[in-house]
Amino acid sequence: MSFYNDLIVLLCAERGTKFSTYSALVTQRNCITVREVELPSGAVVVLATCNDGNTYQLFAGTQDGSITAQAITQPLPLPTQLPNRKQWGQLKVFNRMWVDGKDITNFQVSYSVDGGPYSKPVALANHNMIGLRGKQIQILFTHSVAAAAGVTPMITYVNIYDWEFAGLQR
Amino acid sequence: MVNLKGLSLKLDIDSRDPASWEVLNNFDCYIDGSIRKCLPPIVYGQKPGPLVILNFIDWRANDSAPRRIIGFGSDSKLYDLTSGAQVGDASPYIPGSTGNIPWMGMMPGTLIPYNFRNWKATTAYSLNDALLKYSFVDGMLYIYVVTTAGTSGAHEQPYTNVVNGTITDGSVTWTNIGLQSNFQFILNYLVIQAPGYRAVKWDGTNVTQVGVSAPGTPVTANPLVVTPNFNGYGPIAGAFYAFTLFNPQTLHESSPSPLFGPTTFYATDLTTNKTINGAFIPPLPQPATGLQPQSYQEIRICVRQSAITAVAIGQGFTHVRFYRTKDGGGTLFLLTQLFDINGNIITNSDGSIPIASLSMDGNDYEALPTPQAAQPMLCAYDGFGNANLAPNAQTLATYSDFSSGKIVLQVGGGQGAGSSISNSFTYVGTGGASGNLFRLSPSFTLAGGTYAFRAYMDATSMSAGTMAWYLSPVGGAPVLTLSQTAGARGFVSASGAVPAGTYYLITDINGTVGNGNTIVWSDPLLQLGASNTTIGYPTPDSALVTPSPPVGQNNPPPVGEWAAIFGNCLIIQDEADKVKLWYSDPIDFESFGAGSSLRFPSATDDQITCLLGTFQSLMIGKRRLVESITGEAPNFTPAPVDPSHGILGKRCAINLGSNTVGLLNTGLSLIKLSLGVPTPFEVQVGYSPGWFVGRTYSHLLMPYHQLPRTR
Repeated sequence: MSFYNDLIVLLCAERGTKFSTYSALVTQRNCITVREVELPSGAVVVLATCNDGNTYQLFAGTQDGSITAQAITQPLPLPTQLPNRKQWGQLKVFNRMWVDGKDITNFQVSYSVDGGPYSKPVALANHNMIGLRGKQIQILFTHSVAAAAGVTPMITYVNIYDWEFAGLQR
Repeated sequence: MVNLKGLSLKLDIDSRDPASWEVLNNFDCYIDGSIRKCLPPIVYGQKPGPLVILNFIDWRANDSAPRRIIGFGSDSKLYDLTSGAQVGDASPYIPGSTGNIPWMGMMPGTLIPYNFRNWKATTAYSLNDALLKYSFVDGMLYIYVVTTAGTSGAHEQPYTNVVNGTITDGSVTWTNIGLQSNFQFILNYLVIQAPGYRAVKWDGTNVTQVGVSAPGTPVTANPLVVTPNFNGYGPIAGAFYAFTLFNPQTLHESSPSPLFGPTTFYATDLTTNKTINGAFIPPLPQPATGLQPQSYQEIRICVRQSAITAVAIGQGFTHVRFYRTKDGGGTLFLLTQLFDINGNIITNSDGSIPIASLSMDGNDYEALPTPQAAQPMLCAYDGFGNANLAPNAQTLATYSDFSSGKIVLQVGGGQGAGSSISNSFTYVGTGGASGNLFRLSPSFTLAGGTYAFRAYMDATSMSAGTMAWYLSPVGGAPVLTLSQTAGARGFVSASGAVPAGTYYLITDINGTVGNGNTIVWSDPLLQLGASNTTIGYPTPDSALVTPSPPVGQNNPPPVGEWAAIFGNCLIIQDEADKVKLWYSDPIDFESFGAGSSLRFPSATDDQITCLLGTFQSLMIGKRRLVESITGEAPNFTPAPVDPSHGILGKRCAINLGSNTVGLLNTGLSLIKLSLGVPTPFEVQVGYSPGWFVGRTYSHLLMPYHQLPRTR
């Protein structure tokens, strides 16, 4: 049976942003009801009942690599982010990207330009070579392995600090 | 071109576009300006069994009790999701495997977990049996529970007002466990509203339906004993009786039964038409001037047995309450003292009567204009005992040869200890011998037989001589005499054979009473039989104080579709009319008045899809519009919120501050429920287009078998 919902929408209320999703309950465990509840112990947690008959406590396990997390940036740059909006249609060369965070080396990163397929994932580092050409680029971060004990995989800063318009000398 | 800040994805709201991340899956936004990988889920508690849990809630019995995670299974049973144990069964009221996800919420109520009975002499009482009694010390209503089982004594003992104090009653020990209104009996009921069924409630152990059916059958009132005096109840215009069903554990009471007056119907067992008074007792025809008046001494009030032992909706209604209007009145008042067929008082201190204490007193008819046969009736008695044939106090001096001294008539002040007959008169002495003075009542007839005669006389102010009552035939010698010697007082009684004939009741004095002192005759009781028996007269109008629930006010909830809590009320969407909402009494979630509903019609007959208690209002979502109500019952005020966009399903909206995030046809959106002023030039109420996500998600709480696949 898979009549239930398998995707939980997380709303980041304070930022007025779009929604993120929580797909950690895989298809075989489609979700029926999600509630924030107070446990007998007094802890306030989020529980979900699923069509396998189990009740799950969300956000309660360890970073054991059992779930895959993905984050995709919006296409960059935005017209408003360029010195001259007319330059948005020009081809660019995206060279290098700097990333800060935790458990960075266990992330995989791949790139897509102008809506095309994503490149083959490679291990993420603070300093990453891109070397792609296009009008806009999107970056896909993936984390699917166990993190070191007590470490929360996290991306705190991303900056494509080295890029140029195609054919221009720096 | 270096230092192009526009490509920085620093995740704080001040330096990035809100849509920086096009996809965040299993990431959440983390303080400050970061995304972090979510933790995976773990299995919580024990799996209840081969079923699914459709909905759950963290329930607690009261404010100081620990929370328990209670789930509603697809088999309509309740489970503790921590232990996996079954803790309740709603399947008698909500068939299992319906697939419908129910609404669950908590409403405060009362649960007094004892078996309430009334007190009777030499009767066995078990542990957990309880009495509800006023303490004579402070007049408060206490609960007394059996802590040592046994048999009650011959007489009821005084009830202590000391909490945890005990009373020894025969071999039974009663312990005062506190006031009926004590906080310890307040309980959060878990209310479950499954689509297509009536709401049920769980008290931590048992599942029962919310509310109780209003009785559909009237009381059948039959005056059984009429007295030739005004000692009983003598209505001038007549009075109605009614009853309610009462649960002494939840203190919930039904609406009163219907009031039917004289009704004619075809009696199928008699094969003829028959007319009965129904719930109405008419005024008694009074005789011509000079003859004895009449009043009701015993009125049998009956209810069809099956009407109170097989209630359509509601469980635990083990008691009834009887009500009566005042003479000619339209308001029903609680009868606080009724009797069984043996003359035992069967009314508890809160006016309720255990159904088991009602008397089976033959078959009778109901005042319903439909062909019927007499049916078994359960009865209580307003007033009890053999008729008191003594004339009325007001007429005792109809013929008097009292030629000296003063006569003072008192009505309403019986003199004897334990007197139930409220009339008396006095003779005020002059200080000299009175001579033989007497007073005659109007004549009255008696059938031949053995009669018992008892009356009270107070001769303490008499220094010499005697005072007496006589039952004397017209023109003959007394057949029964009651005498009191000078200086004595008290009841005097006699009995003997009385031939059929016409009699007087005579009061007589032949003695000396000090100047200004009084002697008293009162409480004459003349009954057929060898000895006088206890009399209980019908409740006088002056003792009718506590009004009944208004007619139709304590009805059960309708078959519901969904529910919500707002303004202290349990709000239920009508399953048959899906644009109608019913609201409960704010202080009793089990009572829904006949008129306690609101309809939200629209040009397209758009049915209500979502109820959500929000900031100052109850949001009422439909598929194509959103409305709301504000205020408090019964003055709820409907108001439109968004005439262009609706909510797709029952659980497709959540609160977000003063706003609501709801699932619309085109995706998730923010619905503003409060007045907003985004700029000095615009005012925004309602739908905010900036919150579209543009991706459809499943209707989280619609019946799952009706849903399309999510992906």
